[in-house]
Amino acid sequence: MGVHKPNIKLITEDGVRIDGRRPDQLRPVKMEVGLLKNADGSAYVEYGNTKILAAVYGPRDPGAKHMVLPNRAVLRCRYHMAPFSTHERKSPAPSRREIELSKVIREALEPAVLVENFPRTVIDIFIEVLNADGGTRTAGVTAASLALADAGIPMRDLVAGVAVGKVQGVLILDENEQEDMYGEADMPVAMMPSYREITLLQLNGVLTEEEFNRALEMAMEGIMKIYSIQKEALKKKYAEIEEA
Amino acid sequence: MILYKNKLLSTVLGVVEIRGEDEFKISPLEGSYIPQEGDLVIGVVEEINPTYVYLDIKAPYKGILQASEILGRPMNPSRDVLSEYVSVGDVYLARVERFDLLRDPLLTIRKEKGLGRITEGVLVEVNPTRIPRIIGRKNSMLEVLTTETGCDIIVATNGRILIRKCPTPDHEEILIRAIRVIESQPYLKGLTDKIKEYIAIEKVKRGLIIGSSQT
Repeated sequence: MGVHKPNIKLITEDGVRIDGRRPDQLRPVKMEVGLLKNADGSAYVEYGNTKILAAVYGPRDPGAKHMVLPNRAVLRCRYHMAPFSTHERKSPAPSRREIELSKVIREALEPAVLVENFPRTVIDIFIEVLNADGGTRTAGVTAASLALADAGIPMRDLVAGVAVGKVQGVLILDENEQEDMYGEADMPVAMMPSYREITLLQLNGVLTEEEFNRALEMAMEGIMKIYSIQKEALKKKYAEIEEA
Repeated sequence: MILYKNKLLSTVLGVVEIRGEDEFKISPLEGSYIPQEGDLVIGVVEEINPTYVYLDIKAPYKGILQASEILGRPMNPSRDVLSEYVSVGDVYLARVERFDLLRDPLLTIRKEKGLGRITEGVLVEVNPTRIPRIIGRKNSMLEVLTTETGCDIIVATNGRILIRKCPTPDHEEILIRAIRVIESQPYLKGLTDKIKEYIAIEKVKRGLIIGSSQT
């Protein structure tokens, strides 16, 4: 992409990455559910320094009747980066990139939500990136699907996502911003883990066929781990009340 | 629920209750109210149209109440002005008469006694998924709530509870607190007994009954 590549080593010969992880290691993942009172469902997700807040409203009656469908609910999704989420202030106006990611994330969630149960309604999903450090779209999908579950919206499965990248010829799981920027490839993947069905797959950069297959495998392993953390987070909300 | 490769997957977050070998039930913990024919609902007038009004029934679909229902006779559009009979914010107790996903739920206030405009009482809003718990198995919880506090309670399926005719404001407050306790701990076992105890303790605290032991 003609990006200036600085002279930094993203991975050592014995496979240690710049933040000290092994190639197939996720960043510390943290999740919390139901923290926004006004929203029907909400979730907060951290993949290392990537921090995302998601809120879900609905199914609800839309203000404007022109956008509803007679046979299913309409999913509306807004992915947005807070002005303070990046090193340099980001204009709060939706950028071309954010509009595209909103669509990509919506399409990653749509197969999971039982939209046919709620005709003539809308389900609003808001994804707010509080701190961006690579992998915001996959963390966004993870957070949004948790928020949907917290809102009690029927779903075939949760959706979990993670990215796989390539730096200096080595495939790495869940790359951070530096690895994404100066690496050779970035492949975000999201899926419904119980069905092993992929709902989002993008690839930026070049991977050989072998590399691609290996990358997909690594992503699936990562997603399974994230999926179990998701389920834990949902249970925890009620466990906490039980103790009180 | 979805059957996938011999596994049943729940589509919502809820509590599973296993009732023997091949019977179980999932009670959802979150979710909005979806109307069903025959449901008792409490709605708030949101919009007045020439021949019908829209009620907010805490659902993704607005409830329709027709002018003839409000007037109790056929409506004459050339003479009757609906806004002379209803105002926005009026509260109605109604039953869902007809509903399918293609049309908004049609409500009735004429088909049985007790339905109609609500003019007094306190309205408590709860998560609609908690309603079965507030009523309890065979009305057990509702029974405890009414007999222990002496209040008149109407529980509407859409997550609104009307409290009327309480002996004292203290009783009313205890009842509301008890409902909040049920709402926050819906899956607890033996909740009915706990609520009974809770109400008794609250009564002692307020000096409504003389307690033998202060717990």
